[in-house]
Amino acid sequence: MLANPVNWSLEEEANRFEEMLNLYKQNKISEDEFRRFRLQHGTYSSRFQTKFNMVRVKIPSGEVNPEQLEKIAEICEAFSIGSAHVSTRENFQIHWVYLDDVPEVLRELSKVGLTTREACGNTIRNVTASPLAGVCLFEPFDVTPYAKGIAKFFLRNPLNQNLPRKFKINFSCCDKHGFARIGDIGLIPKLKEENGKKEKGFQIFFGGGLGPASFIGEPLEDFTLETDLLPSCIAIVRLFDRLGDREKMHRNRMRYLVHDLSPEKFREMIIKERRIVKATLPPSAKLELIESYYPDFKEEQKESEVIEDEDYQRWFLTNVLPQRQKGFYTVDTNLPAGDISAEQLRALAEICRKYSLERIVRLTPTQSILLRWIKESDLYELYRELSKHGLGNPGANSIAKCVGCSGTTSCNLAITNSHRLAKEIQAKLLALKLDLDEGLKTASIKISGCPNSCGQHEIATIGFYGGASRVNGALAPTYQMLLGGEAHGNKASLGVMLMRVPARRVIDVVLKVIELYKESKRDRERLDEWISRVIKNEGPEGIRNPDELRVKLESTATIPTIDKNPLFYVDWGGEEKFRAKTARGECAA
Amino acid sequence: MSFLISPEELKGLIGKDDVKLVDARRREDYLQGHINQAISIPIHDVIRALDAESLRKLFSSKGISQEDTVVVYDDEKGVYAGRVAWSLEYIGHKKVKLLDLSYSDLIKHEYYNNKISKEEEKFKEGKLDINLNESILANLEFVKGLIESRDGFIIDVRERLNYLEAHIPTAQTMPWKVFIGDKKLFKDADRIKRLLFNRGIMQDSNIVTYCGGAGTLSGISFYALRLAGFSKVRLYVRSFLEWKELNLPVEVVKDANYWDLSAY
Ligand code: SF4
Repeated sequence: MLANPVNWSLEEEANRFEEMLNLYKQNKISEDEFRRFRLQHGTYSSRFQTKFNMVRVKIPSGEVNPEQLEKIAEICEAFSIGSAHVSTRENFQIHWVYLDDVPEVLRELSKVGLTTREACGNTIRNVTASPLAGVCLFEPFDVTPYAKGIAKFFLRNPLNQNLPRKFKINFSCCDKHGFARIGDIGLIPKLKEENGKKEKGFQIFFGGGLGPASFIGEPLEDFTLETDLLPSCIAIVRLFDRLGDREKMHRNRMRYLVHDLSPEKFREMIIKERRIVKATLPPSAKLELIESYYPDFKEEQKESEVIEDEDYQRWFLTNVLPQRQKGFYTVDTNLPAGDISAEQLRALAEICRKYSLERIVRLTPTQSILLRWIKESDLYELYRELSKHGLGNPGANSIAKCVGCSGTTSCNLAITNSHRLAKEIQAKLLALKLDLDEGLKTASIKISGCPNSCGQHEIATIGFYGGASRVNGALAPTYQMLLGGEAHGNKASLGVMLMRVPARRVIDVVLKVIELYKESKRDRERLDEWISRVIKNEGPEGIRNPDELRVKLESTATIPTIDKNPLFYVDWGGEEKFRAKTARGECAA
Repeated sequence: MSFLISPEELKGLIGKDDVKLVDARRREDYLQGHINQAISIPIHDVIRALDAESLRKLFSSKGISQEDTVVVYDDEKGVYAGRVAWSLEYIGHKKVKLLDLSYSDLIKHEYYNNKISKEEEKFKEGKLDINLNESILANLEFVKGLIESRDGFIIDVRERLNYLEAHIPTAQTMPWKVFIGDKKLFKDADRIKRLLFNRGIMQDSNIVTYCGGAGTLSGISFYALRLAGFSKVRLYVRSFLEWKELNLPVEVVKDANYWDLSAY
């Protein structure tokens, strides 16, 4: 039997939205009041548009079932532009929804148990989990039930309705995967031996997060018992609620508070607050573990046959990961920059029903969708089915899986079209078959359309964020390039700034870096290792450190004047001359 | 009786002399299999008939008479059937109905699955008069008048991306799929009503629907609005195709950025 999916929705909320919308239209509530309400219910205004909105659907731990995929497809066609977007925080974003139609969209979503509640605004946003949770080779146990439990506990909870600023909680599946260290709260599952008994628990991190000023989360203590998970989270949220800055919009994420006070001080405060929470928490406030469906499986031990299909082999090498359940695999659909059409959503729903034993898919922080619990013997057929619908692109677990935030395709704050650039880079790297290069498999490229870091450029091996540069009076789209970032489970570091690169030269610069690496790498050194060597001033001859690398890249990164090459003054995906135009931000998307 | 005919109701109608079942799908599809006794009037023949007299000739040559009850179906969620039904109504036929589901869904019923035929049905030439029902047609003048007077609403039922690029001035965007049901032809009337109310459109408002060219997507939308109790709905049957051909002014949504799925 499949477990019943959690019902995250509350149908009355659609009616409430409708009422508030009407009050707003009749001028009975102010613009500000309505905006706050709207954001609380996951609805942002679109870039430069007042009538159109982006509706963000929260997907706790990224779990979506086929019926929900089909509903999203239907909504895309009826209320949006025929496609949806998977965000880096495991949300589905539906763009270009007419404001007046939002109540209907919420009603449709609630039919399949989906909600937009607290997807935006100063709230606890979607609780994410590593998409490998439950199948990861290295995990001590599956965090998904905890992630969904935490999400359920805080959803609509009064604690979380008016925080100083948004708040993000990320679960990793193990020490090697996931974004535990870049969340306001990050959690890594741990087992501890105590009197011959294995206790479940977590390592908790606090105060991490990316943005114009980024921080890596600080560990709270070595081990937190699972029974202390909820009190610890409540304690941290309460401290932020009480002490956080409600005035300065640009400096009010919890990470600033943590560092203004010092992490040591904040750690003590959390421990103290947790004692109070535990003493005063009503017994009803419990963490409910929400189990996912766990397939009843027999290990498959078949001799796998060799399939003579080069494209398939490439896909198998770059998109397929073995699960800890022998004989089963997890497959990445490698959506280009997170876009998926209604037709693809429907196809994916059908494919999921047919091939995935757990009968759900998982959204990933790399803007993609995973199918899991695939039998080895089904892989080839699955590949062919996916390919028929454009969902079989190779390169998912390689440098070719470029992340690009929505950028100027929809975000109010965007300066450049990071979204399109990510697609262009991916296409180029795939064309050159660089996804197959062993040395490039663990490297990543991530792009944001402005310094806000929704594209997570700071944790990329090679990261970029958008800006604009003036050359002889003409404005060109450019990117700031960063090197050497990463976030893998308990290991994380932020990239260091290298140089400014014109948007039209980003691909060349990436290829140049790869070329320099190949010329000077040690034996089996990978690109990310080579880059961290350069950052540590231990790089190879002539590229000892970032300064020397910059010199090597400079000629590739120059901007010709506008009369020499006008293309440099037009952004990717655009036809007009570049303007660095932004509007009031309601968030980072 | 509503203008929608359920599979149950259809059972009682098939075979009666004064009931004509019309298959609006392409001819090839009709010849692959259709409901017993259905006459083939492919959508394309209807679209090609540009004036009332050609429509009258077409329909009567297919055996339709003034007093018949006509039930139209297709396999395109009503996109073909709606346009055929509207055309009949336009020349003054008073008993036009739509089958409340698509052909593929109909033949899932065992009853109908046993009633599939591949033979061309025989029929006698029908008798039809022209009695123009101008109140369901929006011609160019009417649309222009509405833009001028603002006494009503123009609804663009094409996909939203088309709307963003260019649309008839003052039009609102409501992609046709917003009206379409899952198993039945349409969503519940209440929901359609609410959707329009939220857009500030009342049941007695003047409404014009249009689409990209053939009046098909807007044809089925026309019936969706009728179902929801909107009483003054007209189909701009020449739609945006005519508007563009005449080089009339269009509105675009400024600064409309979105990703381009065709890019990669
Ligand atoms: S605010 Fe976020 S989504 Fe918008 S451009 Fe900046 S990084 Fe991208």
